[in-house]
Amino acid sequence: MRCLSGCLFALTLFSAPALAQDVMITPELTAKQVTINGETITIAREQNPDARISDEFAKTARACPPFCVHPMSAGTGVETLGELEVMDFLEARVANGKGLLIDSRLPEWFEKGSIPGAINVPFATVEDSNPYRDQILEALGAVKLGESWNYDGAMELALFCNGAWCDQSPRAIQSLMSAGYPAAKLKYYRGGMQSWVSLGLTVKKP
Amino acid sequence: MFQSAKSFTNAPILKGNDAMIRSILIAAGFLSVTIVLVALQPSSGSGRFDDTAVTRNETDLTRLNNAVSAAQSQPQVAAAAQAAISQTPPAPKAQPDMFLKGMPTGVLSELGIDAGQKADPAEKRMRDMTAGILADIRSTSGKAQNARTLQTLVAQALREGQSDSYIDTLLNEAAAKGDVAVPAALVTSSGRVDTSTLLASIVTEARKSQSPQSAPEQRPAVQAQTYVVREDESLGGIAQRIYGDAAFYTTIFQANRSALNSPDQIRPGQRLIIPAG
Repeated sequence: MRCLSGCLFALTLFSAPALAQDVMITPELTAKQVTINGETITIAREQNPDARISDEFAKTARACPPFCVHPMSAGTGVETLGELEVMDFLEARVANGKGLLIDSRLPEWFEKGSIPGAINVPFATVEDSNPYRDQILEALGAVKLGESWNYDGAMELALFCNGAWCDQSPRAIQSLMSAGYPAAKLKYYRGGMQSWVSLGLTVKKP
Repeated sequence: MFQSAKSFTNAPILKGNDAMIRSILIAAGFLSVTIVLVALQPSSGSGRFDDTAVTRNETDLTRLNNAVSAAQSQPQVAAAAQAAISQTPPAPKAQPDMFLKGMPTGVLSELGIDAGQKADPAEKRMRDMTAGILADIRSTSGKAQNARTLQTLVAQALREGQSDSYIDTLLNEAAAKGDVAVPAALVTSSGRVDTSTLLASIVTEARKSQSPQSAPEQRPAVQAQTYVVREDESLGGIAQRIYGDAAFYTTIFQANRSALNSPDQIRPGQRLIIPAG
């Protein structure tokens, strides 16, 4: 009897990690799987109860300026997203090639880890000062007509950076809008990496 | 069924191998094309490396050189263009067009040739980041075939060793279908893409990048003159003939604003004011 209960206990103990999915994204959603151009990405939450935020995102006192708290909206007509909306955007827009999830931070930050499915378009590259910016706009589906741009076929973009204290994605959104990119095709994930990491959501290194 | 999420620090590195293979390929491509360019420079004499890499890429370079001679068929203009090649702009009335300036460099970087040796580090960083972004956008959106730019088409065709006439047909078909946007300065008086000027400006950029030190001290000054547009000429092509750099089409365009609404509106027989430069 003691052996049996011991065995049962051991069994429970060993099988526990395989079964445990205590930390779900929502009561209905354990993980989000999206296939982007042949590659399947999985977004789920950290399951280790001892996991803690470390490194860059544990810091709370950053000098402002430049690390100031940003308003909810990054521009008139630009929708602000939360984490679930970001995942939906990946599924409904990025997976079918109609949109892109854009990490506006510098490559050094992107290398440390970003949201799965995101590509790195550093904020400075969409500024007017980049002599090669036109090529980026073209690759996004904009068509140059003389001096102006036609964005009818341009992709929808969801931009983020390090979070509410980071000005890089709001700046990128402003730069795109001054180049004529329609606000309706721009989204702002204000929480950024700070919120993403604090929720234990999957981070991917490129 | 489901893989549990990895922590922040041990996030899965899914594309590590791909990235490595890609960078090795890019490095190899860069090296071989650079060897060819260096080998073909006049200053390096007739020496050719007995290297498979050279033979493999020779067609590209032969074609690039052909393109230059085609675009500069008049010897005296060719000489002027030649002398002007690595010269800094002589205080033109207008700045060279960035789009036209950036594209040849872009084609070269797609071919793995670093045309930015003269560029300042900040611009070089911008160019490198832009090149990475373009590749990422294409691979993520799965539009490698659809999201084509003039630059990609040209780079691809050059890589395949296609002929000038093939490239010309390719670009004109793509432009006619509206697949690619063509800079107004490269639209000829008959509405076609000025492929030879495009190719010539790529060669100009390549030469600049290969001989950053050999900038001649002076170049023949361009006299103020009137130029009669011929059949099938673009403003970029005329700038290439006269100033030695297609990007100077803006100088001509600015001087003729009263007659031209847009650089692609030139027509055969039209008289253009060419400012001294």
